[in-house]
Amino acid sequence: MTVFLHSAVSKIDFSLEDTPSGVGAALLTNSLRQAGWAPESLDLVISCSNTPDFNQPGLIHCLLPRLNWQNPTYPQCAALELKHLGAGFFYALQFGHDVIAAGAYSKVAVVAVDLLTRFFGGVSESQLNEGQLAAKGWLADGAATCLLGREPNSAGRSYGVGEVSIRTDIRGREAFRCRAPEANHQGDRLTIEDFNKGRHLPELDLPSLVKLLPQRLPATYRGSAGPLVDLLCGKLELFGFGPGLDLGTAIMEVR
Amino acid sequence: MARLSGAGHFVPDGVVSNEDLAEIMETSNEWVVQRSGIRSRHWVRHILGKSDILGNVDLAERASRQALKRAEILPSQIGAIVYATITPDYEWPGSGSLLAERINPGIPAYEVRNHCTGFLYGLLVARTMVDSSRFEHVLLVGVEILSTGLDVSTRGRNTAVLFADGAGAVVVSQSAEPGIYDLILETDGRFADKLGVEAPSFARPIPLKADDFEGEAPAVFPRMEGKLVFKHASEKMPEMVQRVLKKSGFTANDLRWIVPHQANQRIIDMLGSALGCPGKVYSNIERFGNTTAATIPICLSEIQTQGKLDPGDLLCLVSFGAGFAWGAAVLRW
Repeated sequence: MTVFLHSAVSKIDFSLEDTPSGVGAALLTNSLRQAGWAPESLDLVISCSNTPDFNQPGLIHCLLPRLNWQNPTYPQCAALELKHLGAGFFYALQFGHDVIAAGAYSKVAVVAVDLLTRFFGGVSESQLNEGQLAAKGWLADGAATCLLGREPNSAGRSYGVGEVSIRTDIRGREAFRCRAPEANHQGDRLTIEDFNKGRHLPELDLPSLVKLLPQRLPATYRGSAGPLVDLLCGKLELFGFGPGLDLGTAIMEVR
Repeated sequence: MARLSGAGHFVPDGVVSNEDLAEIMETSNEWVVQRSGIRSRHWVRHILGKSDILGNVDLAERASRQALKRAEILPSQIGAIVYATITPDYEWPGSGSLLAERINPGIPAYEVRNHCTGFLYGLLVARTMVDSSRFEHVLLVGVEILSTGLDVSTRGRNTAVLFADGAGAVVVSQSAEPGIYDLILETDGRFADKLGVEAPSFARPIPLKADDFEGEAPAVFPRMEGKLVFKHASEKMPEMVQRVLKKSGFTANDLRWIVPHQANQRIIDMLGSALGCPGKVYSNIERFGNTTAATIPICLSEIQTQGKLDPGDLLCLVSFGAGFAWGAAVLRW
């Protein structure tokens, strides 16, 4: 049995007014249509996002009701939310592959949405420190989806989800970080003054990050959507990383 | 096959009673107990001079080390961490990778963000990793520091009295005998705005404005349509227990314990009544409050500590929370 990855290539335009869940839902709807899958057939949807519509609950709960459900009874599939950046897709892919291979689920959708430029909305560059300026110039927006399913007849097939590798390396924690808005480590959440002073913004120490990474730094960083965007562009040996460093690689062929 | 092989928990030293809260907001012990069953909770937050200043990972590490000790597993034997929380220490990096550094550097750490059902979703991930033989032992942690995000004025009393801080952990290991029989997880996002925290978020650009911290219902504090949550939780939790038992071929009579998410004692009581076995439904909400992803593993650890859990005992775990999302699992200890 092979777990195959169906990456329906599609593109949507989105604007500043669109919500992250709206962007993800539009893409997933397109992907499902191109794959010929009804939303009702999904057993599990895995979302990877650092930019949800609400602080709580997760993006997935806002996204699911926006799919084009045909069944008048709202289908209640499982919905897992993972919070990783560039490695998120690899965590989702590894879990999605294994959960199908184990026979627990048959059809799994992975949705990655990161609208990272929104961190800097309404913030003047004159307010930013060097690390925040570097992050602002590098972080971008992206959203992508893929579908994972079970291939009943794998004889002679070489494609599918290949080796997926994930690991963490905490040496990178100071090179690429965002201390807020969810910081608990000081015993109190951030106040409006903290936000006014930009303490919620991502920071990047580019030279340090480059030294730590085993592969070349991408020109722009789309968070969890980055590796999937690479996949849609035809790249089949994928690499992603997030703060931590959270590292992921995968080899696959797209159907 | 995957099986739970040990549980641990840790809560901060700071015990905040209902009487303590009554000193900083308009409430009373009777009011809180009647509505929730909670008499005290553990907070890291500074209140009346009680404080620990511990972070999310600090709690998780203590619970994890206890779980590892009870499972007789060395930290170096852990192949992956599954870390369920909605209150990490930082936005980036995730708390799971920080715990990995303390437990077994370099291993992958799944960062699960599924609120009250986080432990059950984490159980699905951990079981799958073990069943696939990818890892022999996976550390599953549910941990929250909710106290620092609460509105502790009278305006926020409906939610501030409920939520608390704590961590629970279990080791999920490969086993020759069946351990986790079945797991059902479902969600209904039509109720996403009925229980949660609106901001900071990305439906609109941050930074936050002063209005988000002020007014009748500030966006940065939890909001909850209590009656709606109660209604759905009271219906879904017994239904899920019955469904997962049927799916796995057991009945309530076969269970030693039903371990529900600890959100409200009245919901827990209704669960016991609906299933006809109130004595099997474990509750510690009176002393711990609602610690979201940590409630179920804290209960498991307590039951083990009390010597009320023997190898071979059959358990049913069940949860309901924000999303709305709900789920249940049947497993043998």
